[in-house]
Amino acid sequence: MELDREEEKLLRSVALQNSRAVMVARERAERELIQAKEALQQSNDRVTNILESITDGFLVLDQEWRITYLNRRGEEILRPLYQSKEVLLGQNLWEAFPDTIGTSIEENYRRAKRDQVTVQFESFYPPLNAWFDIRGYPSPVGLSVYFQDVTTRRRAQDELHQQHEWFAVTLASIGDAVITTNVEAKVTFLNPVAEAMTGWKTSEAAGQPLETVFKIVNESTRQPVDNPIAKVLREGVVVGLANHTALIAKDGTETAIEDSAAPIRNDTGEITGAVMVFHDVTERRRTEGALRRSEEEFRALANSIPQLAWMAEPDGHIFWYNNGWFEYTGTTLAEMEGWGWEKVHDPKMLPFVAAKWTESLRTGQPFDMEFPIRGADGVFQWFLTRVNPLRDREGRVVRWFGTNTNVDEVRRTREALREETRVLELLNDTGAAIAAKLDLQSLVQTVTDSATQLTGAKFGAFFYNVLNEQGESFLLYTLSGAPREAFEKFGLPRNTPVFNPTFQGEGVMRSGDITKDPRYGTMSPHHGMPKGHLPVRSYLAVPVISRSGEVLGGLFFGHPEADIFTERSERLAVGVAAQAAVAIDNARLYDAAQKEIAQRKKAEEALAQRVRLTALRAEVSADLARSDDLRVVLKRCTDALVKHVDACFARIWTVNAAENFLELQASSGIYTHLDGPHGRVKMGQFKIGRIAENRRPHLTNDVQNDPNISDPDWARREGMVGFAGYPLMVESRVVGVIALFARQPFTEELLKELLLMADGLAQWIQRKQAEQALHEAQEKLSRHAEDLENQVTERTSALRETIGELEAFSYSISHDMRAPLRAMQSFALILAEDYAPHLDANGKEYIRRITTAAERMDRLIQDVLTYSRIARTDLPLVPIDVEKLIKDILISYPAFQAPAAEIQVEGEFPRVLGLEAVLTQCISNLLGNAVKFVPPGEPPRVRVWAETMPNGETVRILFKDNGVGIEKNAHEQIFVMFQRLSKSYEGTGIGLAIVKKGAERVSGNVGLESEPGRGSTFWLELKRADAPRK
Amino acid sequence: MIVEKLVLYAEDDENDVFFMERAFQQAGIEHRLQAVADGKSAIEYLSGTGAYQSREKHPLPCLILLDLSMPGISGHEVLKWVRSQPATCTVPVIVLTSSNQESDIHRAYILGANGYLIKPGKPEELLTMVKGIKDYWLTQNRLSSPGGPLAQMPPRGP
Repeated sequence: MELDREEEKLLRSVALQNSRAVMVARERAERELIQAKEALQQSNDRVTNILESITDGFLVLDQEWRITYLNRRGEEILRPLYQSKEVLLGQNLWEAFPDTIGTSIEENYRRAKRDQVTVQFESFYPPLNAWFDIRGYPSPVGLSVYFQDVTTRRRAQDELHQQHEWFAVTLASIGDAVITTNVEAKVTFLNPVAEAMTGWKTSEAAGQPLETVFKIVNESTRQPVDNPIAKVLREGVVVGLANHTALIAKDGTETAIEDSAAPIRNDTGEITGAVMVFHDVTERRRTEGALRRSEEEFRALANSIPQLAWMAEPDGHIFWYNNGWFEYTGTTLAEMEGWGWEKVHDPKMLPFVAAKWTESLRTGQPFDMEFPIRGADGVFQWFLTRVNPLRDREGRVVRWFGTNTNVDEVRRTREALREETRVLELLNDTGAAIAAKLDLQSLVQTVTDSATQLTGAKFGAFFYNVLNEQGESFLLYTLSGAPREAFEKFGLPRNTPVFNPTFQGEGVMRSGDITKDPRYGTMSPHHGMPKGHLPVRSYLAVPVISRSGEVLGGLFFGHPEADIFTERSERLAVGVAAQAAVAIDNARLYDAAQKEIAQRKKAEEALAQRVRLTALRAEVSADLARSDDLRVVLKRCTDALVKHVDACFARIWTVNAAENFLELQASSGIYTHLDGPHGRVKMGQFKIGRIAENRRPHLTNDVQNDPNISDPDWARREGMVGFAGYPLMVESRVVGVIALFARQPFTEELLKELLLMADGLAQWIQRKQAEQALHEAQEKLSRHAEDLENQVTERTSALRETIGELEAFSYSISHDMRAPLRAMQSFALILAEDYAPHLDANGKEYIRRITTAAERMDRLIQDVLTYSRIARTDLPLVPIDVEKLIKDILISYPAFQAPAAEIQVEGEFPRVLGLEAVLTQCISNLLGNAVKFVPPGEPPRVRVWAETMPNGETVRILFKDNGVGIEKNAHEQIFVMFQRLSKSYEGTGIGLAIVKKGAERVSGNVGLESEPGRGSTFWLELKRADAPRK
Repeated sequence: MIVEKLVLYAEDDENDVFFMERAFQQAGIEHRLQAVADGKSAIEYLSGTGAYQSREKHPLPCLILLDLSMPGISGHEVLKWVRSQPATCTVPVIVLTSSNQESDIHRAYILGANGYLIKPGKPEELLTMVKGIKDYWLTQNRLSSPGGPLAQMPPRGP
């Protein structure tokens, strides 16, 4: 900006100089020309050789305007129009140059001739596209004409004129004030701004000495200031005004100004005057003043704050520090200025600080960092340093303000807090590790290891008391950091003055060097550590005390160097000891609980076995009492064995006496196949065959090492332990063998039970074999009948499938039909609701009918669905409390309650077999019918009760109503779907079909007794839940 | 996480969609009701595939109403898919169907339905039901962000 203005000023003054010089030269040239011409005219125009040589064109016209002479220069000028003067000579001027007619040329020529005066004029002649300076001189022969091409001069003149105009406008419109003077420092010109600021008009100021018009003083001293023009004119240099200059106007008003003066030179570089440019800086001075004051205030403030503070130039050059800085660092501004602060920084941190500071300087971003600064005492303390930029209106940084806040104390506190947290975390981790262990041995090892590691000990030991089974206390120990052999030979620590406080739970003992402790080395025989003991100087011992106050033991830590254990080690050791105490308490409780549990378990197991053996006996007896097939019964027995005595597998063989082998009849457990190598066992083969042959049981609880076992590899692989094999004997005859394998040993009780069982089995098998023969004969007979029966069964099941498909079909039809129906219903309702104003009574009635019809159809479909669902229900029957079920129904429907109806539920209701959903549906429908079909105006009265049928297996639930009654011949018809007896009563005709289907579904039946006019009694016959099984 | 005010309604019967829109309007529910006509569209919408690739236009719903019997992929299968996806496994799903079969109800709950409603027959009953949905599911009920709190927790290490 400054440079541009400077340049502009210079250009302006040079241009002014130039224009002036040109004008002066021109004037002089013209004057000389005229003089020469006058002389020439006087010296006679016939001197043609002179004429020929002059630089003007020269033309002579006679009285008739004929061209009589044209000099060489004239010929040259006119050559574009005429090739040679021969063509022109003798011609009439107006004919030769018709374009001149009517122009200033003709006018001037004629005037010169008429008035006999000399004419001089300039004229533009279009055919030559040139300006001419023309002079005409009348003479007795006619008219002599000099003409000269002045086009170049003419154009320069025009430009100069324009330039002059341009400068005048520029000077008038620029914001700066401009005064020019001549070489005597007399004012020549003021532009409007200068006029306004000085109070002088150019007209009155012109010719006045500059000092009169441009009065300047020093703002603060009030002394006149040397006028710069003098120096400019004297030395020919550009001069700026001194600072704090004020201009005093004509009326005495004062303006702060700032500017410069420059010489004006002509073409030859000679100084012809000076130009002075200045402008009003009052506003800027005020701002600068305010800035200075605020900076002073800032410095005062910055000196009073506890922080260190400083200011830097935009480039980071620090030029000011507050007193705090100097006091803290003990330095001076001279040492610190610029980048001197680096001297008080930690060399390790400096590169980071410098990099970050450089980065802030580059980007203009605030700086924020913590680093140490060296104090006057040479000690580094940590400071939080923040630096913010001050920016000018354009956003450029003009200052950096920095503060350094001492955060050393804060950091120390923070460090201490961190340390505290670390200790707590370590303890917490240890606590978690300890708490996770319930086994005392591994627990104390963990405690010892953790504590040794945490305290920084070389080795540690934990001596602790345990109770043996007899409840006696004795001392054990664990070691960490040293092998067990290192302590084994010393026995247990004795009650020395060093150890005693710990074992007595009297508190922590910490010693930087235990060998210098007064309590050390007071006891014989060793007087200190026994020979070969690991060297201990640093010593730390913490008692471990249970919640009950009992001293559980002590943690001891040692280190061969002195002063290893700190207050922190002690805190950690105490913390671990506290956690260890809790954990040991817990482990002891757990141990006691485990022992208690183990005892209880033993007792429970014995009891359980007794219970199981009893169950086994009962089950086997029941099985043997049944008249099922041999294999079926024996399989039940082996099943029962596996189930009740935890056998891996149990098998029973029977003797085929005719062919002398054992035939496997039943196998339960991990093997259930009856073929394979043990399917037929020859008498005497394998251990089974030997048991049968020897008629002696074979028992072992060490199967894997038993020589009788045929496949010991298998036994080991399967982890078999117990084997029991008994011959099944009737008197002295063997009828079979029973054998069991188990993965646990067999107890005496179990073996006794097995022996008993073998007797029972043997007798049963003998009886069964007798029956078998008879049975086989019968079987042949029945086989034929069975074939027939199978055929019937097949056909029935095919039929059932068809019915099932039909039911599924009806279900899906009904279900899918509901959706469009619901849409119809809904749209009808929406129509009635939203378009009510547009519908007349008929329209509304039709909609009502649509709705009613749709509702009826929906009920129909729902009933069909219910029917279908009941038909498809595929669940086992369960005992149902019918009375509760009926009462629940009555509560659910207002139609079954007074005053709508009077329903009496009387007497006892035995539990029945059924399905709750199905029975609820059936009973609801029956009750619904009972209260519905009453003569108009008659309140429905219904009695409900139950009667057990004479067979004792079924029960009838009866519903007696006071309704219209039903003709005898319609009693079958009413249970058929869609059969309705009367249109007077609303209904779908599916209700009773559902009841019938439901009754069938729960293996029951439905029926009625009724006569028209005497009410109806519907009954639902169901199986009693407590009826004995068939 | 901002929960979108959008309810996704998977229903093949356009009449039912119409009734639901009407009921939403009458109940004064400000949530947008986005209907999809089958199970495939429902999955495409929820996974942001097919015609629903713009999550901005098709944000995840805060509630899904789901019909069971739809052509192609059934409502049960949609439900199973919804529960298998991290982004949708926490979105409440209410089955809205005409089936009151115990097997359908049981299966829906096994697969993780939050409710099972039978389509009412009449518009006013539907309105009552929708108001119930509004009061409970759209007003009182708190939702979990997709992915759950674990998704927003930084990974932890020892």
